Amino acid sequence: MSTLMAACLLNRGPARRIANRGMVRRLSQEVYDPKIHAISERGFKAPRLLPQYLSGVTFTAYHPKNNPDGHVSFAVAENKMLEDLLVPKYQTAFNGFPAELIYYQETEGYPAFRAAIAEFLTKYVNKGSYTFTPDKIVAGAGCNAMLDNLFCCISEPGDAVLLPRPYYAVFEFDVQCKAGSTIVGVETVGVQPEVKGVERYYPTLKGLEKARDSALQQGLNPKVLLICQPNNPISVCYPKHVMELVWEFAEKHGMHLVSDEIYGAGIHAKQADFWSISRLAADKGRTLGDYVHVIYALSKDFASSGLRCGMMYSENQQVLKSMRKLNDLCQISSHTQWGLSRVFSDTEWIEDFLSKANSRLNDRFKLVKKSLEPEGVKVIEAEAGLFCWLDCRSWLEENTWEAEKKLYQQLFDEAKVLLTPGYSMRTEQPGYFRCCFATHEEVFNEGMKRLKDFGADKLRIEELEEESDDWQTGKYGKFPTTT
Amino acid sequence: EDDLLSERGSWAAHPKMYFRGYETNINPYDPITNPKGCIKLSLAENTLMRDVLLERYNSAPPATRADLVYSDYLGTRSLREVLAKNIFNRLAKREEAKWENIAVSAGAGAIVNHVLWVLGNPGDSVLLPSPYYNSFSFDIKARNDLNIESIERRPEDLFAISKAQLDAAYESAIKKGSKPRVLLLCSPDNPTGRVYKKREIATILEWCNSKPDLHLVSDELYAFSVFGESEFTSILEKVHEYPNLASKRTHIVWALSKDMGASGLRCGALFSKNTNLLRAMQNIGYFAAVPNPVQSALAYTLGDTTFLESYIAENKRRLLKRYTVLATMLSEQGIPFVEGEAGLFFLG
Repeated sequence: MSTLMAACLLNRGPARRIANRGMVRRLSQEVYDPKIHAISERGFKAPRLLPQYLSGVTFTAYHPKNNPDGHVSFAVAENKMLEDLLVPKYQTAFNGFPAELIYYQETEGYPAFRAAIAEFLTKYVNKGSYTFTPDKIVAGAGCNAMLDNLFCCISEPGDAVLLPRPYYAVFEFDVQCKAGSTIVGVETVGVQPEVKGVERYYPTLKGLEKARDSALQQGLNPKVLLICQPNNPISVCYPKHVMELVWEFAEKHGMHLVSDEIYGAGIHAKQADFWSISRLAADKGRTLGDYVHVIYALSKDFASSGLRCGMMYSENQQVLKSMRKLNDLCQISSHTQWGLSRVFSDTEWIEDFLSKANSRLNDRFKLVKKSLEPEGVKVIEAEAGLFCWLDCRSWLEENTWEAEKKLYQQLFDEAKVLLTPGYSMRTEQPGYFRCCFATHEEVFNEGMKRLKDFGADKLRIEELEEESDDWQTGKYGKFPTTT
Repeated sequence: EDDLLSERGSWAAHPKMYFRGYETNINPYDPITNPKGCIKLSLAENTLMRDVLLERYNSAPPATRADLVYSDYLGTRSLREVLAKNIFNRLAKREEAKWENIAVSAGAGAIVNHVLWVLGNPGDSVLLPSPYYNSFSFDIKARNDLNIESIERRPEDLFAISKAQLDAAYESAIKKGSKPRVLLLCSPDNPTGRVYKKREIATILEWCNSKPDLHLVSDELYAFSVFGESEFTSILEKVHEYPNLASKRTHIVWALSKDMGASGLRCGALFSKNTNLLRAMQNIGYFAAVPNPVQSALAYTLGDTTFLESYIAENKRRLLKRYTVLATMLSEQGIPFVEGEAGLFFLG
């Protein structure tokens, strides 16, 4: 079961037993047979592209009263801390849906909605340095829908998409399922072993070149460079020089650069300095040009993943033309767009909302640090997003992938806590986990308590040396096979 | 030029492709401000029932916190239950559909596009009776790498379908080296406005049953807009007579755009008993999901059978009235046309 499936099932109510409905079978063990399956091969393979680390597993979600023995999941990047702000606002905004909007609208999105979003992005994602205009926005049913269509437009099936590791696991699905591109991970830590701290995770010229060469060797055309800025799962903002590097690299090789800035308004650390690709363009006194495309959505900063609102921004007129047409197959309901345009027009409310949202996220992050650092977990200072990156290597029995998988399983079975294991996000060293901390408060508190208890019981291994030589993939043993 | 786009990207942007949706009105008619303006009769939208629909839709309970988060990409349970019970079982005229058989997505076009992606391998063919709804070409081909093989219907036959025509299209696809994978019906039919006769439905089912690798997708989104004399027979009403076809190879599409006049809301549904198909639809349904609050409001809107019965009856009455006005006028002017029985249009 993927993080997505987990999300689906978890939202069916805290105490309801999750029956094994066939979706949770060990999908990867079945072999395609057209006679049995009666659908196409691509239809058969699609569900198997999702992260499989939870496949074959069933659990019920923790609830303080109804299900105190349930599992606490910190594995889905959802924000459940803002319901008190959003629900009353949405209730008023969606009320009184007007007749003329019940009919077909512009495929690229309701004009007032695009206009409101353009203003919002300009104000919050690049502090007004670059002006987003509504005519360059296409709004569709979620960030993933925009990525899927964008990749269909700018790449052929089989082209390579370079993506710095570790990365949001479901990118593999978004980019590969229908668009048929192939992700080639860009090593970060491995190509700069002497670097310490969070800088280890920044893409480098060496890593990018290596990935590009690897793609070419595999007979793939490296067409797109995809970055997530702010980054999932590291939860930091790439600094200016990294953004300059990736843009230069993409330009040098005639590649498209897709900057997924879905956490762009969720910068919760006061000291963070967010360099949207749009801000960089303005800083350089240039336009984005035909090769740069920005993605945003309301699922994270606005905790509204259930509204299915994503958007793509591009100055490339050909891409826009194509995306508008393809958007016909994933339009956002007119009612939702209309309601949201009213929400976003209330600029005072937006300002207040974002301020409160980011403050709550930061406070929550500090609690994670406070809870887990005494137990031997190192926590990277999170700057943005709904999660943080945990270095749990002191909890590993040995420095191998098998040990990480075992730890993941122990956390699930013994502590009854789900964290996203690093191998599912294609990390380069075992022992790292992502913790999505924006759950309901009681769930968070219970989860931290369980992790603290687990950590206290765990045999502590001497702090592992970060060895700087002999950086080979075989060093940590075999990468775990999907279950 | 188009050199920055992929081949499939360029195809999607091609100006000749018709796409549904809002078209800029250059010179729109207005009875007071612009009586010499242009009246658009080219877009299939039902505006006749909007007062009735909106009254009900707008009285749905407001959004809740559950609406905010990720949910099932086959759709919310409440909407799927309502669709199974009140829509698909109504089409079937029996207890055929359960909520587990339903997939909800952002419009009929999205459903058709995804269902064909799941059913057809790249290069396969979709058999489609012609003349056909213009946008089907886009819905079928966009991102799918599928071909269309026309099933030639003739005006002199009043656009009826026969076994010979089905065979001809099937053979034609094979000759071109393409596997015929799906028969896609629009029933009631766009653009002819015809209702398929019972014997034609029987022919179609018999024929599909005889082709073990072929799927039948019946797009029935004008099912409740039948104003003429003929009785509408849904595929779902008869397919149970062919167990294999029914259990794995028959899929029905319905949406709110036409029967309910709610094209802007972007909500369509698929009925199928093929669990592999449904699993795949759940998986890629993620790319075209309907906002949760809209699903809740639609579950409420369609959830009351009394409302639905009276809505459908009134819709038919208003459609017939409107049709009669136009048909009478055309007859008086000596302009020939194909008599319509269903939908929002007919062939002139």
